[in-house]
Amino acid sequence: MAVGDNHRTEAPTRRGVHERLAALPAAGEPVPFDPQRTLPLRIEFIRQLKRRRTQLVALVLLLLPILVAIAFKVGGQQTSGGAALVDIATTGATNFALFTEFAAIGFLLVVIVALFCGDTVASEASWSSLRYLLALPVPRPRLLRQKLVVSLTLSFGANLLLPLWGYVVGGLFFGWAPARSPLGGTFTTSEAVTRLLIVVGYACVQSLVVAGLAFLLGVMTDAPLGAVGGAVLLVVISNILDSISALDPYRQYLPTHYQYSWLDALGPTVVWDDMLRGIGLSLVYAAVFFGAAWVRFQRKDITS
Amino acid sequence: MTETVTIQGPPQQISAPAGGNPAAVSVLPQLGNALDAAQGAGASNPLQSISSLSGQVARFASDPLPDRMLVAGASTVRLVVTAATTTDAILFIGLHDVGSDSDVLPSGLVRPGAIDRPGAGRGPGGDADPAVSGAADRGRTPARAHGCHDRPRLPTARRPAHLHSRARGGGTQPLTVATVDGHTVRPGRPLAWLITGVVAVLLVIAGVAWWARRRRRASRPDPDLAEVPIAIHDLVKEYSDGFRAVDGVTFRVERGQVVGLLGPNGAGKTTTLRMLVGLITPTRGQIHVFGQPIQPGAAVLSRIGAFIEGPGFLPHLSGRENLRLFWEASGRPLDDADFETALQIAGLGTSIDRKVKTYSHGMRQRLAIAQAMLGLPELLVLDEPTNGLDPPQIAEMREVLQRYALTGRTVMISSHLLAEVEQTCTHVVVVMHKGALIAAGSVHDIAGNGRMQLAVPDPARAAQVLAGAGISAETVPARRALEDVFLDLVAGE
Repeated sequence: MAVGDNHRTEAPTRRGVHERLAALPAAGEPVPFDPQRTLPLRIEFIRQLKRRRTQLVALVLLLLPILVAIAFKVGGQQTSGGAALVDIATTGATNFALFTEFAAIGFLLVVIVALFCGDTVASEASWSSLRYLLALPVPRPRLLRQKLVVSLTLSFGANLLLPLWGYVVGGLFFGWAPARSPLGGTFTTSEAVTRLLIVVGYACVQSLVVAGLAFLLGVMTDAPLGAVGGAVLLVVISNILDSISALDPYRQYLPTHYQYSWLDALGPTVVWDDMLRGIGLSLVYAAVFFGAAWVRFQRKDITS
Repeated sequence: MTETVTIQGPPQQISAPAGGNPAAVSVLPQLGNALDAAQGAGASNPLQSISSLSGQVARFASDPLPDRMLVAGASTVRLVVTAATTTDAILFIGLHDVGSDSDVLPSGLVRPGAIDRPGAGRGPGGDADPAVSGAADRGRTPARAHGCHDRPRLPTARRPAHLHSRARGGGTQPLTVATVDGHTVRPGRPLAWLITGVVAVLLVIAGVAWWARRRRRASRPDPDLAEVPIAIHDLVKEYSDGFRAVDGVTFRVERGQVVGLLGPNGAGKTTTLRMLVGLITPTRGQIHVFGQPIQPGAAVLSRIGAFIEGPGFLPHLSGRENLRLFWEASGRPLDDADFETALQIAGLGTSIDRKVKTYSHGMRQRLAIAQAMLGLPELLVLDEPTNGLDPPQIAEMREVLQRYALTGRTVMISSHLLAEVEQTCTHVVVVMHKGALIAAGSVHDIAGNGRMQLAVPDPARAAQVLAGAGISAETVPARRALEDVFLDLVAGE
């Protein structure tokens, strides 16, 4: 048992309560109730932002670019002179931001998105607070919608925070030189920002797949870890299959096949072909996962 | 289209020693792969071998390119080549893509050209490189190499041959490079993918909305029951493995009552209550609360305050924050909550501002009951409310619930503790066992089962008197009425 009643708490009720109850107006008219006003976004944001895991993620995202920058400083001379993102990361703020995004997108951002989207319903189930929300009642589709809006906002926020903060850190460490493209040429600052936003936007759409699966698993299980782990597992397996070129005609349908297509946005001109494919593919996967989550949750017996 | 790159380099003399070693083999149009195969692994970078032949190669290079360039087609340049000692030298001309750590001859292609005029001459001017395709990245330097020794041409250079090679116009010369403005594409229509994705999203949204609406339409309210807090009819919950947790339960609860749902563990009490608040969908039967059919998220649930199977709080928030956020999630005005009453019922004192994860079981229990009473709902459903409370707290709770019912509100509690139900539930007891309802009625009716008890100070004499009056009597030990009835009811367990 936890700390317990070391402040001597009083009996559950006192005479005052009895008087209050006696003075209550008799039960009368039904209370006004509007299902569309339940679980306002503001409340859900407070519920999530006060969680330790949200704060931890924010901390990681804030520390990562600094650690990377220090690593580049300490690591010293880069003599390869190549043109990959890692080779030109220290060119300036924008290149550093692009590199941090590149480094994080394969796994860190996947885990973060899976965490935000997979754990939001599952953790309520594990705390048993889910049944009280549903009995309040928050209609089930409404609960999913509000939770999804908040989770995706947090996920996309993380997706945006990392390159933006990377830009600031990169500027402080390596100066504000104009961006160099790994494919040749330099960008003006406004062009670089546009490209960076395209990259972030594409990464957000890509992350819908992970978000969808994590959300679906989070609705199906009461174990937050299972939901998050399951979604990450999908990405890992998809990446493994994607590296087998013998699968070729079918490889392009793997959810992570176009994961890095945003590199096409860094050329002299933005090449949209693969990004359009990637967006389309992500939307199909996301639609299936989210649709399944909605149907499953509507029918589910809440026994947690 | 073409682009022009300025290349430069000093005049250079190159020689073709007879049978020079190592041999440099590049690729001739039409012959390329055969040569590659002939030379084996070393052929993978023919340029390396050419440029490593010092004195046999003349190089002219441009500055690093400012931008990416996609080369497709033949490039041209004018160079002045003077044959010094020979009449039949062969030149091989190629366009190299040179980086700081790499040097690539795209596709290994070179173009041969013959110098057939001894003495002075302009050599193969205006000649074109073989058509090449490739991308010269920014920062790379196209270089042009003249080699004059190549294995397939060995017989042509029996004697050492010397050539002077220079770029015209003071060491610089425009190199015209055929380029295209393009990028690598894959077959197929990318837009079709995007449209498929958007259509899939729209279809799923429409499908889910349609499906939800169809479910909602399924049941209708019953106006006759509008004043009845709970009306349950033939309720069945059967799980997929065939287990019937609740089997044909029917009962009704009226306003102002404190109703007990009594039964041993596993009798189906909690399952019934879960169905009552729409957490579980019944296999069969209806539940009406104030005349409204219960289904997940039914608006009438806002008139129920529930505490079901243990508390559920956000452990990282304080008790006060939990209550407040819970109420605000209902979307109803803060003034309706009556937090003060709830906080007094919880009776947590200053602990209300500590995080819930530090609470003891009893504290959470009290907070959960307070949460159920937020907004003073017309129907209060409490599942095992006294678990974890100590006896004075139980006594207080009992009185609170009875007073609550006096305001015209209704309280339903479930318990496996007979004494608790007997003392708290002034009106009705519903007894469940193994999912079925086995008795329902007032505590008095069920406990008495229609028979009266007569207490006398001297049982032996009373029996004699009764026998004398022609009434048979037996002596039984004094007992807790409901408990025995209950044990009789569930006998055979």
